[in-house]
Amino acid sequence: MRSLTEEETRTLFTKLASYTGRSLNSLITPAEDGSQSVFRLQGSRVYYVNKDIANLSVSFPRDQLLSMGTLIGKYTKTGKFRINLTALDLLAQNARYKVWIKANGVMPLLYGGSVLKAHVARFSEDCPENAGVVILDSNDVPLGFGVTARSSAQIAKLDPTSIAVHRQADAGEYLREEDTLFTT
Amino acid sequence: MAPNVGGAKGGAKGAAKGGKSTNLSSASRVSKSAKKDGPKRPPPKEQKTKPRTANENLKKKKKRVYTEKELDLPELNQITPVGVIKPKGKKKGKTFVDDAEGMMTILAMVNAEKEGQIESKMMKARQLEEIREAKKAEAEARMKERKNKFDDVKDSIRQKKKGKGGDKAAEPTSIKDSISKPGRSKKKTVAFA
Amino acid sequence: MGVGRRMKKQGPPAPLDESKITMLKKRKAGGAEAPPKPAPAKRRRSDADEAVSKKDAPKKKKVNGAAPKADSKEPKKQPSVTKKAVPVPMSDDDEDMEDDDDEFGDLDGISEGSMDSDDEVEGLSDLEDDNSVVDSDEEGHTRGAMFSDDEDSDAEERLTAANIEGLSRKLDAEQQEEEEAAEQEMQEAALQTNIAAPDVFADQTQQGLAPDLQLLRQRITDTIRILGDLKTLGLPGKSRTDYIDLLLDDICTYYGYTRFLAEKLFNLFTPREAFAFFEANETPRPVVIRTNTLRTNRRSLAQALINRGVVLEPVGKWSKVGLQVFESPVPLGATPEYLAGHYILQAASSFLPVMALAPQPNERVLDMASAPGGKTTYMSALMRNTGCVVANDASKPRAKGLIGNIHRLGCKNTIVTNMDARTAFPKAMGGFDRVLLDAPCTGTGVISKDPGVKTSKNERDFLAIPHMQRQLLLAAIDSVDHASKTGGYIVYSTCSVTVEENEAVVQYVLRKRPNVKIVDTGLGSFGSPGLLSYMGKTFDPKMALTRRYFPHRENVDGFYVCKLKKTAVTPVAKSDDAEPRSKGPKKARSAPSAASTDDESVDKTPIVDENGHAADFEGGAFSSFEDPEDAERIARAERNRLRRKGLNPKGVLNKPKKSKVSVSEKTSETATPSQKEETEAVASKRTSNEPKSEKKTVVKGDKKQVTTEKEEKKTAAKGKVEKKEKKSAKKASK
Repeated sequence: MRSLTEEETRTLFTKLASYTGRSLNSLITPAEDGSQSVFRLQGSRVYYVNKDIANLSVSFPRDQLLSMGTLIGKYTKTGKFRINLTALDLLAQNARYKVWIKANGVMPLLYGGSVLKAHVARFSEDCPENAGVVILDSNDVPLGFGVTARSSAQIAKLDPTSIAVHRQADAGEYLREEDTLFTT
Repeated sequence: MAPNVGGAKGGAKGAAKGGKSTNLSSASRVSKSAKKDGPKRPPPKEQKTKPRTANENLKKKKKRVYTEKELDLPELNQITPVGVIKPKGKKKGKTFVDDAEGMMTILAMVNAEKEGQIESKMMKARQLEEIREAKKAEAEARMKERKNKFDDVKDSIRQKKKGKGGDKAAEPTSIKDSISKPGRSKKKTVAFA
Repeated sequence: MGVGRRMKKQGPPAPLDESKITMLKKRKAGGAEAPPKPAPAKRRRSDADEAVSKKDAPKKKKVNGAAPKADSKEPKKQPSVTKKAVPVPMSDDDEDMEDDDDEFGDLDGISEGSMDSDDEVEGLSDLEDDNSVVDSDEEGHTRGAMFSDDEDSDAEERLTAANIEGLSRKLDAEQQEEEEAAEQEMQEAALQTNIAAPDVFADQTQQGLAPDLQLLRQRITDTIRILGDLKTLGLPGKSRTDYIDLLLDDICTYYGYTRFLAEKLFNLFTPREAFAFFEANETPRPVVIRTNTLRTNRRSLAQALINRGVVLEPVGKWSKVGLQVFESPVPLGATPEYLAGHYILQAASSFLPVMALAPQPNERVLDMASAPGGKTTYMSALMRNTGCVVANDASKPRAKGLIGNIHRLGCKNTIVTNMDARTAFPKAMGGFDRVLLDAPCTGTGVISKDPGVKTSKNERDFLAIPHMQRQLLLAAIDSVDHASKTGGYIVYSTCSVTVEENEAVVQYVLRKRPNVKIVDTGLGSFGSPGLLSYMGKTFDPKMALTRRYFPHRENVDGFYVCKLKKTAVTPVAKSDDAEPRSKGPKKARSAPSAASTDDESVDKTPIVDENGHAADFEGGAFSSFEDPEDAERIARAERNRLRRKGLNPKGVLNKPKKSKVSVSEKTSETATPSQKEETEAVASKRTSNEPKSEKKTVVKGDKKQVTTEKEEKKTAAKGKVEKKEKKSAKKASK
């Protein structure tokens, strides 16, 4: 377990920034009570964890330390970063663009489908095409995240069955990908 | 040759007792060239045995190590890709960012980039939108024009029909004639020309 | 919105019961509720009238057997029914109703307040709002659930003050009827047992390959009844053990236990209770979900689930986050709420250890065997994602599910490790404020969940698993920081009911670690106290502070919870304590506690023999046993041993001079050595104890000789070794 290198940090932040925007700052600045969270790399996986906990966890042998704090995602062999579903909380708190879906779109999403125009209840303003977006249900509960297929202006003109948001991750993965979600 | 011999002599001077042996050694080195002194020399056995165990000989055997450059291998056959040259003297390993400032700077850069991208995207989108709007307007205008034209034609036809009741036959023919005649005349002129 | 109304069921006990009854009513379609009381009475009567045919007998006896259960339920139901009958007529105007609501609402607000971290006042005001708009705003579903139930018993509802008398009279009549029935039943029971008692053993002989389950069950109930009053009901020739033997055999065949396990479990209870326990193991426990307070609160969760058509209610007064699910049209493990981490499916029993542990914010807590994470996430929620929870599990595949649950429920203060807790803690990390050890166990408390336990557990498991539990608990104790300002607690729990895995383990660590003591679990009166003695073993008097839970008593999985407080450092390991702990600064305060351990070890010393003692025993300690015969045998054995090893053939030849005489007398000169031996033995027997002292000395002398020889050899060998060493040294120097 170690902290990230500059290169890795840049890769990670680039990825996160496509979902979060300016408020990403709040992730790395200390909270009011002085506690600070940090990113830590274990194997190829990146965890976002309170600094105290990170310091505590150095006591454990690397191969026996399975997880700490929140798993954000992992670096692929080619050096790219892939965000995991478990980062959803983080993204939802700081999301730049959001899309709210109706009740009829929840189950299709949780089964791994994309968000259709018919499912969209509301869209963040001024959302461009191919932008990262957090998907919430009508009660503001985050269910997943994805990438917009069209800009918000265009979506209004689409027909109901066309895809509005391409799914990247959804909460259904806790069941569907149970075995692979956390394999290191 | 000459310095060698001198060296041997010096050795002999230095070590009075071992004079013989040093002589032998010197002889051995110049064995072939100094065959004339042969009878004095001991048999070649010693020549063989001594150098093998001696340190100097081992050193001599040590092969020369060539650097990669000297070997002049084709560059493609290397493990490290061609373009990559590891800077010498630089600290090995990774540089971590564990301080907030470092993170902040990186974040700021990334953010700026992203923002720029999004901005440009939005700009582009807006421009595209404008273009689209313009095109649309144009298309609409054209449509309108066409429609007007069409309407005109329709009106004219209608008028024609109305006119049938009165002097319908005279007018169109006269128009036709008036249009066709100059055309024909022109054509003719061109043809003749 | 309807929550307020629903939640009030959770308030004072009486309405809770009432609601339960309404639930029952609802589930068991209306009409089923009324008949049961009169009906059995009728049937019994008719049965009594009828000639006792063989086919009817089982039914009748079943009823009798079930009688205790029914009795236990009836007193519960009865008061609730009467209560219900009384308040309903009273509340003919709505204001009364609303007052009631407020009253319960108050309680509700209080209980909720701590959970939601809302202000109490806020909760109250919320509730008041609820009440004010309750009629218009309330969701149809909840309200429907409440009122439709009431309307089921329409007849009762319409009763007003006017005909209350009639109602009470009716009730009285009912009661009387019941009593009569009960009396009659008692009489019948007496009659029957007289008939049935001989049957019990008669049937046994007839038992074929495929036992008739109904008959079997009948016999079980019969035997239990006989055991309840053996003096009057038992057959003259049969003892209690005979009956118990029969009962155990029947239980094994009826429920499919191994005899070993059946006996073990049976011994925990009275026969009657044991039967109830075995019965309870056949029915599943209620499905319970725990609200994840990190993401939502119980009220909104319940509302969301009710909107999906789930029928649920608070699990009980003892938990503020549990919801008991009666039926659900959707799979509870795949709802959007579940996937969003608003709740987790968790047995009611596994709330208890965490509640006992009561982790506080900003503490460092360890969960030694944490998969699948129900307890870990509960702890994390109680700590509001502050501090640190180290969740360890020895199994990697199980740890995967644990990580999934931790992330799904949004616990950010966890470290998940995959180590063997026995050795890893406190080596890898110590100084915890609290440690939860929900130890791996035989699972005798969760047989309803995993019937495989009935047959898979053998004697060996009941030795090996408690052993591991002891090791784990010792490790847990050593990992705790006794000086912690807020904590210093260890909670030990198992999902097993056997004493070996519970009280015995705790008793063991109390002896091993005098620096811990049992403290109250903080679970109140829920559950029954731990056993103070069992099968001749007596436990620490404070063992009564630990809590036991049984499926047939509390309707939760069989469970055991014990809370320990560490008061001082673990004393420095003694010679017999083979676990030197890594914690350094123990020397300073070890003095007082070490003294107490001395007492403990003193207790042990007579048991543990040292070599010096053993030597003494040869001379004096066993002298009292030295009967002449013994001495003779000992001597002979010794001689044989020596001869067989070829150490002292003379020991045979020299000593029995007298026996040689006898041999000569016997004239068997050509006897082989073995024959000689025999004759010798015979002779020595004859000569009895005369040569005792002689023999001994001889033997000893032989021994000495042998030892000296050995020593010589050794020295010779040593010399050789030295020589060798010298040689090697020389070589080295060369």
